Amino acid sequence: MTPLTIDVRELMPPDPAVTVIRVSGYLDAHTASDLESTLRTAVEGGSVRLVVDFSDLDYISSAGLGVFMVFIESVRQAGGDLKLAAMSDRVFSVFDLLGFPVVFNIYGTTAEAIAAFPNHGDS
Amino acid sequence: MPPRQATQTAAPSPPVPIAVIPSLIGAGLALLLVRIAVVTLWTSQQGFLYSIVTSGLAAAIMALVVVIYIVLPRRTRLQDVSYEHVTSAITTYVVATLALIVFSSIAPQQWEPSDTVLVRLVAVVSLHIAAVGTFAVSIGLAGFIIMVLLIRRHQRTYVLLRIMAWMIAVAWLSVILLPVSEVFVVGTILATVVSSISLLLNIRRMSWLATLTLSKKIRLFWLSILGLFTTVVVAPMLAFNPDMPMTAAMEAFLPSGRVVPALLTLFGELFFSRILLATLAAMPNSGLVERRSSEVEALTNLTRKIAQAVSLDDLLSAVAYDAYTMCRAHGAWVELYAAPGTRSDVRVVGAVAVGPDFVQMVHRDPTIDELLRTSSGPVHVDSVPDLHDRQGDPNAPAAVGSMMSVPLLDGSARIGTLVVISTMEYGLEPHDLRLLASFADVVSVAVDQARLTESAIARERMQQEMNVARSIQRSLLPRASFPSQAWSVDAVMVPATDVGGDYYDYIEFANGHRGVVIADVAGKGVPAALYMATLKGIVLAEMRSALGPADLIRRINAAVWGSIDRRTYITLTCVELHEDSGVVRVARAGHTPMLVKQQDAVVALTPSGVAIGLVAPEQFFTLIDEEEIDVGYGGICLLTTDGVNERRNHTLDELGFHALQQVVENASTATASEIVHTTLHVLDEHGGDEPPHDDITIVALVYLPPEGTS
Repeated sequence: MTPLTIDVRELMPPDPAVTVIRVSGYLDAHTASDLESTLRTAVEGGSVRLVVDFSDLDYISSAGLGVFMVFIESVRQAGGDLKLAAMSDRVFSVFDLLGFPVVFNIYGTTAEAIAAFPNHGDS
Repeated sequence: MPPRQATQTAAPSPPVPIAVIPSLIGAGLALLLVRIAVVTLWTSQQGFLYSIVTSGLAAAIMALVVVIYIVLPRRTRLQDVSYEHVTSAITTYVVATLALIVFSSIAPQQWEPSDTVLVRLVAVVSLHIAAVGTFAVSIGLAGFIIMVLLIRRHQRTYVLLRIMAWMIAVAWLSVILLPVSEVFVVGTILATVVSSISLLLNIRRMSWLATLTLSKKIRLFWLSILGLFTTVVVAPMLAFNPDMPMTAAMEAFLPSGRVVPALLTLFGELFFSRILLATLAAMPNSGLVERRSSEVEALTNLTRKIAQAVSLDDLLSAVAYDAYTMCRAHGAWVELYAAPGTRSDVRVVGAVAVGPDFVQMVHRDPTIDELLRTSSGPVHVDSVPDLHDRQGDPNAPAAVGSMMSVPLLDGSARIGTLVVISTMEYGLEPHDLRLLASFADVVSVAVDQARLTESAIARERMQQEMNVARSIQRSLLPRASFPSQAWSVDAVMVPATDVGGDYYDYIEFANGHRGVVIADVAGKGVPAALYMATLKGIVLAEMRSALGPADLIRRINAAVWGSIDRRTYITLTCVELHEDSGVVRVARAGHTPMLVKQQDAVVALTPSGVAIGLVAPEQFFTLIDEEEIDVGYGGICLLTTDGVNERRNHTLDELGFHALQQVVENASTATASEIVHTTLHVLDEHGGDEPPHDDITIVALVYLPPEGTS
C-alpha cells in the first residue's frame, strides 16, 4: 500500500507566510488521521494561512474528506483560510460531488492559491 | 491381587520377623554369660582347651553382634538419610566411645586366681562389657560409614566395600598368624593400606553438605572434629597400646580380635577427616546457599499468594509483607499512583509496621518523594541522612535510616512503588534489592494478567452490546416491502463494522407520493450509527410536511445544522416516485450519483447540492437543485453509497461507477431484488478477500410495466 506522505513547507513571501502542505500517495479513512495531526500541528503552531497541494495525490476516498472540515472554521475565524489546490480531475470530482467547492476555495495551482491570500501590503 | 504384590515388591527387603532379634540377643547374652562363667570359674586360665573355648565363645559373640546389628530394623530408609541422622550418629559414637573409655578405666578388670569368686566375677563382667562394648561401637561406626556411602553410591561402591571387608579379614588373619612368623606384619600393613585406600575411593563428593545452611555446617564441623578427635585417640590405642584398659579388655576377650575395632576406628578417622574437609570447603558459599534458598522460598510463597489473592490490593499486601520479612526491615509498603505527576494521590496498600500517615510524612520530603515516584529501576539508599547532606537538604525524615524501592510496572506504565525502610543507616542488605526487584516482576505479571482478564471481560461485554446495537440498527431500516404496485423496490445495507453510518428508508411526502432516501454519514462505527439513528428520526418527522425531495433535504439540513459535529457531514439522495407515471424527482445532498436506465441509455443524475452539515441553511437552500426524469416502463434507478463504488480489491483498485453502470445496462428485464443481488455479486467478485472499508448500501428501483404487457 502506498502510504500518505505529507510535506510541510512555510513560504515567505507572501507576508505573513503561507504554509503549504503537500500530500502524496493515498488519502483515505486510515491515512486521514496523519493529515489531521499535521494540520493540527500547523494550526496550533499559529499558521492560519494554509494551502493543501494535491498535485501528487494518487487516490482520495470520500471517507478521508472530513479532515478538512475539522479546521476550516477555526482557521477562518482567525483571519486565515485553508485553500485546496492542484487537484486532478478525479480528486476534484470526489470533492465536487460532496459540494465541497461551496465551502472551500479550490485553485488550479498552488501558486494561484498562495496568490489568493491577501499580502501584508494589500489593504 | 496385583496392587498388593506391587507393594510387596516395592519394599526394600523382606522385614525381619521381630522374634528373631530377641532370640539373637538372647543367644548372644547366653554365650556372654557362658563365657563369663568359664573365665570366672576356670581358675587356671591356661591350656589349649581354655583358649579354644574362650576364643570360640568370643568369636561367636562378635559374630552375633554383627548379625544383630545387620538385622536390627532401620527406622529410616536410605534415601531419607539426612543431616539429622549424620549428626546424631556422630554424637552417639562419640558419647559411647568416651563412656567406654571412662568405664574401662574405672571398672576393675584385673584379678588374681587367689581372689574370691565374687571379686573375680565383677572384674570379668566389667572386662566383658568393655570388650563387647568396644566391638559393638566400632561395628556401629562401620554401619554408619556404610550408610553414608550408600546415599551417593556409585557402580564401584559395593565392590570397594567388599574389598574393605576382605582386607579386615586379611588383617585379622595376619595378626592371628603373627606369632608364627614376623612376615605376617606385612599382611597387616598391606590390608590396612588397601582398605584405607578403598574407603577413600568410596567416598563420593559430599555435595549434600553444600546445600546445608551455615549454622548446620558449623554444627557438623564441630561434630566431625569431635569424631575425628575420638577416633584419633581410640584407633592407635586399640592397635598399638595393649596397656590401655580398653585395649587390654579387648585383648583379654579375643587376643587377635582388637584388629577389627582398630581398623574400623581407623576408617572412622579417615571418614571424619573427609567430612571435616568437605564442611570446611563448603563453608564459604554458605551465605550464598542460604540466601538463594530463602529467595526461592520467598518467591514460591509469593507465587502461591498471588494464585490465592482475590484482588490486587490483597496481592500487594502480600508482597509488602513478604518484602518486610525477607529484608528484616522496620517497615514496608506498596504505594500506588492514580496519575503520574500529581502529588496528593499516593495510595498506600498493605503497609507493614508503619501507617499511611508515616508514608505521607516520608513523601513530604521532596528528595525522597521524587526518588520514589520517578526512579526507573530498583534503588537502594543505604543512608538517607547522607543522601540529604549531598542534596543540601536538611529536612530528612528522622525515622528513615535507609531504604530500598523498586518500581511496579503495568506493561510499561508506572503504577506504583514497593518500598522497604529501616530506621538504621545501612540497615538493609544490598543483595535483598535483587529479591525486591523479582517481587516487582512477579507483581507486574500478576497485574498484567488481571488487566488482560478484565479487558477480555470488557471486550466480551462490548461485543454483546455491539450485537444489540446492530440489531437495533437493522430495525431502523424498513422491514416491510415498498408499498407500491407500480414500483419494485429492494435494498440492502452491509455495515463494514458491527454498526454503520449508512441509511436508507421508504418515505411518503406531503403530496402523497412515495419515495426513497439513501444516506451516508461520514465515518463509520458507533458515532456514525448514532447520527444515522438521529437522521432517521428527522426524516420521519420532516417527510410529512416536505413538498418534495429538495424540500426534504433542506429541512433535514436545517434540523441537523448546529447540532451535528462540525467535522461530520451526511450525504443523502432523496427520490420521489410517481405511481401513475415513470416520473422520478431527485435531489442530492453531496451523495454519489444515481444511475438511471431509460430505454437503453444509462445516465448518472447529479443534481447540484452539497452534503448536509457543511453549510448554514440559508446558503444550503440555494445550493440544492431538483431534477425530474421520466424513466418509462422497465426504467431502472440504482442508488448506492460510496462504499460501493469505492470498494477496493487487494491491489487497491476501486470498483468505480463504470462497473455499476454495466450492471444497470445489462439488467434488461430484472426485478429490483435481482439488481441488488447482481450488484452485491459484482462487489464480491471485485473485492475478493479484501475486507470492505466502508458500509455498503444498495437501493434499486424498477418502474414495472402494467400487467399484461411485456
